[in-house]
Amino acid sequence: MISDIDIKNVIADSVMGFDVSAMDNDQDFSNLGLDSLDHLTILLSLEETFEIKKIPDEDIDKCRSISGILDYLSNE
Amino acid sequence: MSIGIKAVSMYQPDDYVDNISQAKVLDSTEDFIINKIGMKRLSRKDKLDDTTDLAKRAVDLLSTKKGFSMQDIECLVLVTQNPDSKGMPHSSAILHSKLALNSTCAVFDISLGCSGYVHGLSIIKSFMESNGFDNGVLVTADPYSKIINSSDRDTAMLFGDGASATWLSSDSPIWNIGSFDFGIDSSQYDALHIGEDGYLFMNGRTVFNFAAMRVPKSINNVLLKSNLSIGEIDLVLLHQGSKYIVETLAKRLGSEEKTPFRAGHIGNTVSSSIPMMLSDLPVDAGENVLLSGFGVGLSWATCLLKKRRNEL
Repeated sequence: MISDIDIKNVIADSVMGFDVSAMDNDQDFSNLGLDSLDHLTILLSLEETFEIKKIPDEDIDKCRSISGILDYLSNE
Repeated sequence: MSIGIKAVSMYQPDDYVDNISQAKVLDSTEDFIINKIGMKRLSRKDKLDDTTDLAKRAVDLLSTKKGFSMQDIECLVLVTQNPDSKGMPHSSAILHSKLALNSTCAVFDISLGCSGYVHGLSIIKSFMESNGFDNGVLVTADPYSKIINSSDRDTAMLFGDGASATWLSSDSPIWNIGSFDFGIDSSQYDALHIGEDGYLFMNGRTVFNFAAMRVPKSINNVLLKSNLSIGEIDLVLLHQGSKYIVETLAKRLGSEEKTPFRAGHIGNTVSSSIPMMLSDLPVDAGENVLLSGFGVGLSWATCLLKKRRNEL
């Protein structure tokens, strides 16, 4: 089971210089200063790290926050 | 005598698009252009120029600045997917005419995108060696401004126009060529294609994931074939898709300090982005240089260049 801590660790490894310690699970990544390329990197790192099947393009907007990613994964 | 690289030239048009100004129109930001795309300027060919005009200027530079003799060329190979007119006749035939080369010079096109230069090196080297040729030229010219929709933010902020010419010779080349690694993930071929509207379409996420996952494996394959480690490589010259993809790949390879991004003043010039960097290499750039191109197809090609000992 992937936790919010796991996702924060992936974000910390994927986005250089980004501080995950104060991240709120419900905050949209774009409101935290993460751009579209950071978002792609985070999703790819999640897929690789946890061997998740590729999140379809039509679902990536559901995965724009830690809570969104956890919801998406729990429904898959 | 094996064929190697003797000299490389690059032609960059004078005109350009200011990408920071363009970003504001396309709902992007200066910060995104500088820190992620990395390209402040995108070179643009003159509207009256066609692909072979850019290609001719690159070959002319090889002649005027690198001592290349047009009359010595035995083969000319042009890498492009944006040929003059509709591709018939082959653009290398038009280029041959514009350069007034000998009728005994063999010419043909290669239809490949960003992996085209490295594929082309293998093709022209093999072609020259199997036919006993001593001098040939590999040209890249793929002006994407012909197929860019200026209102498409997925593509309009990336691509620049340019052309390169690489002189391959059996006579005292600077770089030996090989080993190679090639491949394609054709299940995703439509991630980069020209749509029915005539404009380039790109699924950026698919291309990014493809590059991030496939290119490091390809580079490792070449390292294994060459009995080298990444620590023994002096330079890793990756296709300059964007600053972000170059930095992402460098991080995955652990080669950050020797993987340059040099397309900030020109843009992604497709198959010309790797030879552009080779044309600028100082004499003391190192002994082992890795080249890796990746993109349309989705294909990749990687090779090792090794400085010739007798040139040191």
